[in-house]
Amino acid sequence: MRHARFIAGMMVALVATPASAAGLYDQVRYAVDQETRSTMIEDEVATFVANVMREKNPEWKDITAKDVLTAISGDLAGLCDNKPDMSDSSKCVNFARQITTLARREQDLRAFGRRLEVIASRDELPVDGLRGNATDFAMHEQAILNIWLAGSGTVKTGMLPTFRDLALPEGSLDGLVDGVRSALEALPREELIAAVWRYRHGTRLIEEQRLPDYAPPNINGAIADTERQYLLNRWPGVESALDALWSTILASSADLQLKNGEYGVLLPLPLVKKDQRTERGVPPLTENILVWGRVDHDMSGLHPLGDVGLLWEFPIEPVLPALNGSKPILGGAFPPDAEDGTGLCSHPIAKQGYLCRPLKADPDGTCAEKAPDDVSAITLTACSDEGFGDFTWAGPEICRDIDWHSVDEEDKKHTCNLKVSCSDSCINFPDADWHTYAKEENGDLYVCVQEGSAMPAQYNLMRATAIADIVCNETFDEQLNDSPEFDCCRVMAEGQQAACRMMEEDGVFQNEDGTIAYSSEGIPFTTETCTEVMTQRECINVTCPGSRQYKSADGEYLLADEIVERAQSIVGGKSCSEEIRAPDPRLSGVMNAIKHRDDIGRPGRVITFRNSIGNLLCAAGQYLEESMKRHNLGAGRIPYTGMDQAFPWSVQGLMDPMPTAVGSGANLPLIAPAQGGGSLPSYHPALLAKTFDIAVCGEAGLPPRVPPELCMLDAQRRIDLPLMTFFATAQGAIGESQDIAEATMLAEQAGVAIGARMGNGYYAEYLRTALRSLTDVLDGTENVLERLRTIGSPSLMCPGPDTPPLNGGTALSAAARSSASSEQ
Amino acid sequence: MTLSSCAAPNITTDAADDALPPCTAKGSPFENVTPFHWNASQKTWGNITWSKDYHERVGEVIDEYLAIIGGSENVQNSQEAQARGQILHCTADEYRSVIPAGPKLTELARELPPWSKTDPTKLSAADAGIVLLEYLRTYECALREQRTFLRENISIETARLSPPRSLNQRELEKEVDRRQTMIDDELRVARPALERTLLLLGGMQRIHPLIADLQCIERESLDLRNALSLFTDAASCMGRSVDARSPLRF
Repeated sequence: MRHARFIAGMMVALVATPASAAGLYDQVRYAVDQETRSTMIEDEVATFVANVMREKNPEWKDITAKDVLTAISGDLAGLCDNKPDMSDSSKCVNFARQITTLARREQDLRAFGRRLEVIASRDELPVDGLRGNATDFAMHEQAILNIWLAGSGTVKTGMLPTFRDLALPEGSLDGLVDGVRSALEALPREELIAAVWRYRHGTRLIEEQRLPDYAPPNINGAIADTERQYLLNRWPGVESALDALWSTILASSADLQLKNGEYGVLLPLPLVKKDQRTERGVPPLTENILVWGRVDHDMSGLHPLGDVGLLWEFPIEPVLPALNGSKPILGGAFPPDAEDGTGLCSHPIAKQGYLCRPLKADPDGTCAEKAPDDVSAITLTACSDEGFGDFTWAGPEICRDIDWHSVDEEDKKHTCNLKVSCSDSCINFPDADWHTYAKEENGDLYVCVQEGSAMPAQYNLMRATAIADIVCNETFDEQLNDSPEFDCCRVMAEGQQAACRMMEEDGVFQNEDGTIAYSSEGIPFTTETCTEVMTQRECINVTCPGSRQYKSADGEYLLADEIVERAQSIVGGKSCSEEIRAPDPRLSGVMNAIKHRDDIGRPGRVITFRNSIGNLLCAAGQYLEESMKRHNLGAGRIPYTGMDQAFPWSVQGLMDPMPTAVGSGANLPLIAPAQGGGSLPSYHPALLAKTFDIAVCGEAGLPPRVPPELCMLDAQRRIDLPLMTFFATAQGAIGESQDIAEATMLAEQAGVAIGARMGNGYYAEYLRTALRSLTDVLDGTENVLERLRTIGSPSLMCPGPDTPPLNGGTALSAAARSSASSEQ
Repeated sequence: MTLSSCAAPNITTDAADDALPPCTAKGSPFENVTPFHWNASQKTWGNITWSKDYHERVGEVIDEYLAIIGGSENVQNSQEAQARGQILHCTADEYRSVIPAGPKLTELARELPPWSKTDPTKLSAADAGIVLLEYLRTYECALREQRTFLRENISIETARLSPPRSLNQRELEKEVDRRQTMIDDELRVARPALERTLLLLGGMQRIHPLIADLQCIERESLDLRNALSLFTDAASCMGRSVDARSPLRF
C-alpha cells in the first residue's frame, strides 16, 4: 500500500536522527506536513472520496481509497491501467482531476479545522483551570484568594475549593495508566481523538454517575452516519480503564480525610512518561494525552465532583466532522447545542467562572451584557438585573459580616442578647432614669430607660448601652464574683464617659459663642468633669481613685443637675420610644457593636480560624480594638483615672500611615473593583455574514443579493449585452475574466479584513470587561504590598509635636508638623 | 515587587541597529555545516543535514520555554518541577528580567547576527518567538540559496570528493531533483509548523505577565501571612498584658 509505505518512509526520515524526546513542535510539524504534502492525503479523506465517487458515477463503482491515493500521487498509469472504463487517457485525466479536486478541498477543510482548534486553544489553554500547572491562571487566582480571603467558608463568604495533592507513591498508578493508554491505542485515530475530547470532563460524568448534581452533556448526541458520530460517542474500553483508575484514587484518598470543600487531586499524569517517549520525530497522539483525577469530600458516597478523565496536553487535534459511516457523510447535521451548566461547569473552579454562573448587574442596575432580542446572536454570558445583592464591601466592617473564626458553647457565654425597653418605671429601680440589669444566665441583657426622664433619652440610652457593652463580655458567674465597688468605678465611668462625650459633641458644654461654659460653682463643663460627677453620683459609697469630689456640703451634685438642665435646654429631646425608633447614629453604633460583640482577647479565650491573611487581620484588628476599648490605651478614654491627654493622635495631626477607609480620597488601596465579573461580548455570525455579503456585492457595484454569488460577475455578460462593434464586444468579453479575478481577489481581501477587524473588536471588548476587575485587584494588591514595605513602625506610643520623624516612616515633615501644631 | 501588571513583554533587541541582513547561509548557523553528506561506502549523498539540526533546535527551545513558564506536563521528576518554580525572579525591575532566557535559547541567539553581539543576560525567555523566527528566516535563506545553486554546488562537491568524481548529466539531474524535493519539503513545512506552534504559545505568552504577577503575589502573600501570624500572636497578648496593669490604675 503506497500510502502506508509513504507514512512509514516519512517516519523513518523524521525519526532517523534521534536526539531528545518529541514535544509540541514535533506534533505540530507532523500535522502540518500531513496537511500540506501535495502527494498524499489522510486515510479518512481517501475513503470518503472513494465512497463519494462511487455514488456519483456508476462507471466508477470499483474505485477504492487506494485508487484515490494513487490519483493524488499523480500516478495516472497506476490509477487507470487496470480499469477497462478508463482506457481513454482523457477519461483518466478527467477522473484523476475530479478525485484530486474533491480530496484537496476536503483536506483543506480539515486543515482549516485544525488551525481553528489551535487558535481556540491558544486563548483557552491558560484559563481553562483544568491542568493545575504553573500556567494555570485559575489555580493561581484561587491560591491567592485562599491566602487572603477572610472567613471560614460559610454561605456569606462562599466556599473556596482547596486542592490537596493525592501524592500517591511514584509508579503506583503505572499499570492503570497503561491500561488507559492501551484502550486508547486500540481505537482508530479519529475515534482516539474524539475519546479524549469526550472524557475531558470526566468519565463518571459521561457514565451519569454524578447525577443529579451534574448531568452529562449530550448523552444521546451520537448519531450514526452523521458528522458527530464520534464527537458524542462512548467507548466502553476507555471507560472501564478510567473507572479502574477512579476506584484506586478513591480508595487512596481515604488517608487525606478530606473536609467539605477540599479535593484530593491527581495532578495530570502523562499517558506516556518522558523517558518512554518517541525521540525527535513523529510522536503518537498518546504522547500528547494526560490523565487527571479528582476526589471530593462526600459522605453520601455519590462524589458529585469526583471524577477521572483525559486531557490534551496541547489541544491541537479537534474532532473533525466524521466523513465515513455506512455511507459517505455529506454534511448538514450540526452538533446539538451545548447545554448550559454541563461539561466545563462540572469542575470545582470552572463552575465559578462567568460562563457557568449568572452575572449580576452593576450596583447602579445597569447591565453591560444583556441577552439580546436578536436570535441570530450567540450570547455566552448575559447578566441578570438583580444587582449586587450580596455584595460585601471589603471595608473595615468585613470581620463583622462574616464568621471568620469558630464559636463554641463556651464562647457563647461571653456574648449577649441586648434587649432595650422604654418604661415609665424601670423594674426594681422605679426612681432611676435608666438601668442596665445584670446579664442573665441565658445571655439576655436588659436595659431600661425611663420615658419621662429629665435627661434627653439619647444620653440615657447611651449610658445604659455603653455599660451593657462591658457587662456583655462577662459571664453570669463572673458578674457574681465582681466586687460592687470595683465594678462601679470600672463600669460606670465607661458608660458615663460615652454619654458625656456625646453631649460635648452636641454642644451641651459650650456657650453660644463657642467658648467652654462654666457651672455656677466655677467648674468647666467638659467630658472629663461630666464623667467624674456623673460616676460619683451613681457610685455613692465608692471613692473612685483619682477623681475629684463634686458632692456639696448638703449632699447634692450641682454640676450634674446643671448638665441635665443644659442638655434639656440646648438639645431638647425625644422620648425614649422615639429615640429607639430612629436612634442617633452614635447610639445605633454602640447597639450594633453589642450585637456583634466578640471579645477574643479575653483571658483564657481560645479561637481557631483558617490561616489566611484576612482572618489574621480580623484577629489582629479585634485584639487591638479590644485593647484600646478596654484598657485605656486609647487616649482620652478615661482621663480621670489615667490623666491621659485627650485625643493625642488628633492633636498631633499625624496621618494614618496607611489609610484604607472607603471614600478617604486618593488612597484607596483596598477598595473592591467596580465590577464583580466579566462578560463575553455577543457574537453575531449572521451579522458578519451579512456584512461580508454587502462587501462582496459592493465590489461588483451591485446592491446586496442573496446568495451573494449572484453578485459575482457573469462571464457571459458582455455577450448578452454586446457593445457597438464586434471588436469592442470581443475585447470586453476578454476583459471579463480580469474583472472577475479582481472582484474575487477584492472579496477575499475584504473577507479577511472584516474577519480580522471583528475578531479584534471582540477581543478588545472581552479584555476590557473580563480583565478590568482583575487588573484593578492586582493594582490594588501591589499598592498595598508596596505600602506595607515602606511603612515604619512608631517607636513611641503617643509621639508629641517635637518627636523627630521616623526613619523612612510616616511621621510628618517638620513643616507639616509645624502646620499641624499651628492649627491647634 | 515592581512588575508590569498585564503589560505585554517589552521585547527589544539590538537587531534594529543593524542593516537588513542578506538572505544567505553566510553568517548563519548553517554556514559551516555541509548540507548533504557523501556516504563513501554507499557512494551516495544522504538526506539534508540542516533539517535535523534546525528542527531539533527549534523543538528544544520550545520545550525549554514551556519548561520555564511551567506550561508542560512533560516533567521528569519533582526536582525538575520544583526548579521551574524558582525560575521566576519576582524582584526584577521589568518583565523581561522576571523570566530570563534558558541556555538553549541563549545559545541559539548567540549564533544569529541580531544577537551575536548582545549581552546574553538581556535576553528573556519571552524572546523565544522572535529568536526562532529569525532562525527560521536564516534557515529558509540557506535553503533557497542552496536550491538556487544546486547544480553548481553538486559539481563543486563532487570535485572535492576523494577521489574526485564527475557525474554525467543524468546522474546530476537525478541528484538535483532529489535535493530539490527535500529542500522544497523543508520550505513547505518549516514556516507553517513554527508559526502554528508560536500561535499556540502566543496565548500563554500573552497571559504569562499576568500569571507571573499572580505567582509573585502568591509568594509575597505567603510571606505576608507568616508575618501577620507573628503580629497577631503579639496582638493577642496586648489585652492581657494591660490587664496586669489594671490594679495600678484603679
